[in-house]
Amino acid sequence: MSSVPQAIGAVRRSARLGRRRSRAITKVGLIMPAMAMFLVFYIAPIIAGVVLSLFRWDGLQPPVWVGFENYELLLRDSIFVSNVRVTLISVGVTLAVTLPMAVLLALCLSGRGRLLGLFRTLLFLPTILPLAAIALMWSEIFNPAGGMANEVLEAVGLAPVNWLGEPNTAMWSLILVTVWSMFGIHMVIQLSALSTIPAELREAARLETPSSWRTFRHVVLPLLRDALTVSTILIITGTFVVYTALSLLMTRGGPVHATETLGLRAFIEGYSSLDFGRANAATVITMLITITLVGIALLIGSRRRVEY
Amino acid sequence: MASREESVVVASAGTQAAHPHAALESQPSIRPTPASRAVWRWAREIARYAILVVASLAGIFPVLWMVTVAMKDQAEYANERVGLPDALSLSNFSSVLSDPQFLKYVLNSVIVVGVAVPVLTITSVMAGYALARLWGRAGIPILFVFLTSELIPLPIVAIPLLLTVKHLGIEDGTVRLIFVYSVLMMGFAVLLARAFFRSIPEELREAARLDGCGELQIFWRIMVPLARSPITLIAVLSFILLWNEVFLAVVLLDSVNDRTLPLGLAEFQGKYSSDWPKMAAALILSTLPTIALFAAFQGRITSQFSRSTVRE
Repeated sequence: MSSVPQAIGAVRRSARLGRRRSRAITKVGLIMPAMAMFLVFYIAPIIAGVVLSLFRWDGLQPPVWVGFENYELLLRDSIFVSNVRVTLISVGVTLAVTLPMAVLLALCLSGRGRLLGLFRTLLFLPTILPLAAIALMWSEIFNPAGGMANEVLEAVGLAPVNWLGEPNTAMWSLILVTVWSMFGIHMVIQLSALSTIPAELREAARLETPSSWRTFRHVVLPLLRDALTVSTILIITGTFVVYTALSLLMTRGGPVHATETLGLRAFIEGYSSLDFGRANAATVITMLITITLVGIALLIGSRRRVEY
Repeated sequence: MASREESVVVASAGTQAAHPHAALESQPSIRPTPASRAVWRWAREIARYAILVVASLAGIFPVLWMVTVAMKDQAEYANERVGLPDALSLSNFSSVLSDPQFLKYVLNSVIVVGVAVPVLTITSVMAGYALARLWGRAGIPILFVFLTSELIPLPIVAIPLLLTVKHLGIEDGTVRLIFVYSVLMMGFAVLLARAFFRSIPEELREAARLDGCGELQIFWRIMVPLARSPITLIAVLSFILLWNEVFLAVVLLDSVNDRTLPLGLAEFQGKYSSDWPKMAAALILSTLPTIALFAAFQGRITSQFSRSTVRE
């Protein structure tokens, strides 16, 4: 008599046990493929980069431990200062131009109005073009012998510029292209942040009166802060990738290293010179710069109070 | 977690909002008359559309120019760099499309992206679900590990990545790219999937469990079909990113035969350096898949992508 409920209890218990085991297996099984690939192809290279930056290695002989020699050589190198300068200026200027531009265009696009959807699509278009196509297209636009940029200058009555050929102008030309390729996505991020702001506040932000700048500054901007932080971080990390790829494809870092970032330097050392120790040291310094800049952005973005 | 923070932000902004308005009310000279308000509204609308027109022109003028160039022949382009073509000629496009090398690059890209996008999408949706519903609090540090990829973009570690891939003995360029591209935007994809699964009520899982579903069945039979929209979004965005990727392709591909389309284009530049119209045609053709995909999913990309980025 009493064995039946006992048996039911045992079955239930084993079912619960089985369910718990299935849960544990599922829990680990679902995350393993992503985690394994991520560890091997993302985390491992970072660790390898840090470790190998302490070795001298040409890829053929076994690596030799040299401590911080690669860093010392890099820091004493005169081009290194220029590399860091180009890296920081490209990130700083791209950020300073792209972010206000994105907010301004988002404000213009917000609300109801004819053609706004069309404008949004047109403005977003540069973002989805392949970087290689962008690089080649702008190389031809900047062509000193009859490229479109100089045709336009000539039409307006200005003197032609050797856009990519002069150390003074090459970096600025590349920054221009970087901004051109990135502003669309940030415009859209700001636009969708604006659309989450309550309607009354948005109304106030629509440049209604001469004092609207203050409304914008004190009401809208604080509400956009989270979106601005996201955009800032994406612009910082994005510039490292986009500008470096453009300088590789359009100028190869030249003329005379004028457009060479630290990231491109790492590529050139590792790929052309086969000096993997120094390439990794340059990579590690690039990572440190990225982390520092993103950290600063996060700190500023997470401050509770906005002072004004 | 995110929603609580949002409400705090909104609440604090509400109190801040009261302050400047009060300041405005107390200054009668600034309070606008109806007439001046109408003038301002007009000025505002004009300024707004002027900005949009100028910016849009700057955005698409280079692209339009490239389209016109692609329809010219060499002589015509040499004579007139900017301007409409004499005739709607598609001969540049057809000669690029009949170039076996171009087709080889297209095929390479299709293979790499065609494998990497499903791998990335499936693995990150699985991981996103596990982090949202099975790992509880322990999932947060794991999520942060994935999010390092947003902090340090993979191209920054290109050379260490090349060394790692060589060390693992992966010699085939296509296989290298497939693996690396599969993790390229994993942080973002896992975050997006996790956010979606967190928004599905826990009761649904309870009900399925009472019906005798195992954990794996709940995921596969119930959650995956529900997650069609984040899955599409991850697939579309990663396709656009990977189809266009060039920097890692430069670093990781040794053999000319493995070159993907973006890298192949860079090499076409040498081949067609004297024939820019043909180059322009090749650029446009390489861009078409992304543009088609973008056109099909435009609304979803521009609204949902940014929303998910902003929310968390």
